[in-house]
Amino acid sequence: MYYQSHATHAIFLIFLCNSILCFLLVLGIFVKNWFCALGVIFYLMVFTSLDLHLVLALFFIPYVMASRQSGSFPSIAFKDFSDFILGNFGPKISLPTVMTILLSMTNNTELLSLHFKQVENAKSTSWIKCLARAIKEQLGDDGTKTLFSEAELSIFETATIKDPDITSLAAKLGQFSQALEIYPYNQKRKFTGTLQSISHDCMKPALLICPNSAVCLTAGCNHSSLHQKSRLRDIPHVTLIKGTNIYHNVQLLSGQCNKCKTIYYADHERTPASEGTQAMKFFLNSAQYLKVGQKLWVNREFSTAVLNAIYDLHASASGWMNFFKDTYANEGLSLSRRHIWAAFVQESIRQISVTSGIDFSIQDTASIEEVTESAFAILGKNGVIYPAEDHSCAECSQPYKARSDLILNPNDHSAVGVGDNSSRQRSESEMDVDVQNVTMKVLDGIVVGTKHCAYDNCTSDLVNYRGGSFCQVHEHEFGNRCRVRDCTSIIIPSTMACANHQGLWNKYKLDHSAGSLAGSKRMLNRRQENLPWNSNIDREHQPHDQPALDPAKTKHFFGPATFYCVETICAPCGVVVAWAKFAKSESESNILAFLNQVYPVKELRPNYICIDKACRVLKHIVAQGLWDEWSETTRFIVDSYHYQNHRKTDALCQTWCNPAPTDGSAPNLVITARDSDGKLYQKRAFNTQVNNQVLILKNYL
Amino acid sequence: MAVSTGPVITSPAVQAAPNLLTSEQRLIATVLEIPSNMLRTGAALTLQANYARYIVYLDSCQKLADIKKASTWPVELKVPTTMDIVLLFIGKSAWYESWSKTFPNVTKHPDMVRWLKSDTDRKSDLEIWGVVHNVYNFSHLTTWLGNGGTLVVEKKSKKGKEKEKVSHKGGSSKAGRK
Repeated sequence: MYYQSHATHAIFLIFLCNSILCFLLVLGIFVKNWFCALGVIFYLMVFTSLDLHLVLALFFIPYVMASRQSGSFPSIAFKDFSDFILGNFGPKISLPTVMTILLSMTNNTELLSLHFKQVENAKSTSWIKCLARAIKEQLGDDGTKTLFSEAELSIFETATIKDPDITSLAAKLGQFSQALEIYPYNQKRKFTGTLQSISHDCMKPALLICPNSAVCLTAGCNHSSLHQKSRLRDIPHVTLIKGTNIYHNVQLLSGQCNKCKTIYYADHERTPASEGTQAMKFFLNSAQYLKVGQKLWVNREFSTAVLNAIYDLHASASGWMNFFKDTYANEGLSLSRRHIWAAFVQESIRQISVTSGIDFSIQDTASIEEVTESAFAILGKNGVIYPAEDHSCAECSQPYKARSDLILNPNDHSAVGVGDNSSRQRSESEMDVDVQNVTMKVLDGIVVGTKHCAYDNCTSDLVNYRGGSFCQVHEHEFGNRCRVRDCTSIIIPSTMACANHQGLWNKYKLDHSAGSLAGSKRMLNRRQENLPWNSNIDREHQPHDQPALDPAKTKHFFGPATFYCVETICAPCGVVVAWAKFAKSESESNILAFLNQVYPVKELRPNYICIDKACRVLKHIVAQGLWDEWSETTRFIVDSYHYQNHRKTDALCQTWCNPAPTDGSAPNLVITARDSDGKLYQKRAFNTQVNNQVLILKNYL
Repeated sequence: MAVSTGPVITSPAVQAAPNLLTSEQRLIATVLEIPSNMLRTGAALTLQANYARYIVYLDSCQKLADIKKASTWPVELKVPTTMDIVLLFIGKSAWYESWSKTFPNVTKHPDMVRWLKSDTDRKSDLEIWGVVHNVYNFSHLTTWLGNGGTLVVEKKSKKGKEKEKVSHKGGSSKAGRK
């Protein structure tokens, strides 16, 4: 075979050297040259002991596998080619059909070798008939007919042999192969071996990156034409990655409207600055190519692949870069993780802009950091996911029912608690429910450990995410002060603490070192379990369903603070509607503020909101005097998992927050269905565990 | 979206804002209560004047974070990004070339901070810089930070200089220019 590696070479060379040395040893003994023989023995002792190690070492040296040799593309004169096509195929044969046949020949050299080895002349074999059959399937019946003349087609109608068109086409393909000089015999009629696969590099198109709009789209310009803006010597030449193919020296052209002076590029438009306005860059959602580096452009197939890999494979930018370079890149490609990150950002902006119906624009000459920040501000919409706003499906909305179809347990204590259920029934009937459908949204949080400024009550972004602990404001405020709380001494250079607090700093560094994180820190402990080798710190664990404790103030600001959780609002079908970061706790006030932000007007509110601490949120709303406003549209219920604990102790939760009362008090939460035997049974109308299920499916838990 | 109950912009307080700013930028400056004499003019400024603007810029960032937290930003006005606030004080090139490279690192040198703030208890030019110049600019400050707090570089021995020359010969063209 054609594939060889360093290791194979090494084994062969070592074997060869050893053989020569053994020969010299024998020769030395034979001619009684003891000096020569001893030298050879010494060499053998040293090198034979290194053989295995050397081979093993060479195995681990990264190498690029030598690609299989490929033959050149047929270089026959076009006239000969044209004459053969016109002389052997039908007169109505189209260019795509000719190209299909040509490429079928050049891409199946192994099959042609097998065919010609079996029969030297143009007779048909089952090999070439298989190729003819594949071409027929590719072209379809109408396309296949154009391969034959009228006379041939009439003969096929009266022929008695099976598949006469396949046999005829197979013969033509054999002749065509010989005409193209894809033929494994030399002039002496001697078989020259299996044909090499044919390289198509000489057929690569000459690509240019141009604006994708042919006319100026500015109002008042009357669709005027665009003029090539750059002078010949100023036209940049860039590298273009199109899918997995890499094209070098691609000309990058831009067009300018002579009326409004707007410059059109392949991925954006630039409007000039005027009095009172700045030059702006409008991102084109329909762009075919995206600029990801100073001299590097990619097509949307590449950028989409980056986006999908980062989400679906959890690939990092540098990981994706290494994958692409190792698999597809050639010597001339300079690809860095920054290019991959730029492709991710640019593609994300385009996809979200299309879905949101927004044309994203930013000041001209913005860095990728500015683009990211601005895109989040404009497209992020404070965590509300606009495409999900109008989402509705059978899973997340149910037809409204005034009363339950089936009451299995009229005295359900879990539903009514110690009192009667009349209050809830009255409450349900007073609810201003859309008579068409009842909707529910589910809230829950997940701890992700996103970092923010360590200063008290500051949640700004860090100025340095690799070792920093403050935002730019507090970094400036602290300056060279010791990062221990209330200490005003000067830090010792290359540390974050003063001379008095070096012990604290060293302990912090030790606890956060790579060795510590790779060792005992990875051991799974139960909550509040303190093993002998764990640090003797009495941590306060935040209770899940109880009021949040006042967070303990940290002794120092050596490391950044982390957000407590990311809260999501999901539809019961799994569509994420909105998200927010809660800095310190999943408190009732935070939840209410989040709900007010996502549902500012009562018309937008769902009929049911399911939260694991709904009873606490309900109490908070009542205490805030907001219940009258919320009660018109919405009820708060606990999810089915947490309700198991709540119902034992909390009478309010039993009365108002039961997710599935079987006494008929909430006909829109419990619906009836029929089992396989045709019997009626009750089931929950909505999935209240959807947030956890979504996060598990996305591999976040 | 949330209907903000933020302040209603009545009349811009920044009447004397220079022409370099757009109307939207002036409104942002008004909401962030930035003094008009601190806004971008395009005129050349001393290091101290630049630093004073940098302090106001940091205050504005903090103010914006507080306003965002309280959801009181005026709905009719675009929420500014960090770069939008920067552009109220200085051009983008000057930000990347000088401010962002020097001022964040100056805080580790309290004497220089006092000098930049023109405090009464500041040290003299010679004590701070090591060299007296009529005017100090960003290139001086960059060099000063690079040298660990001085403009004066100790002269190396002749032998060392010769060695350096030899090593520069083999270096890149960029290193050679230095």
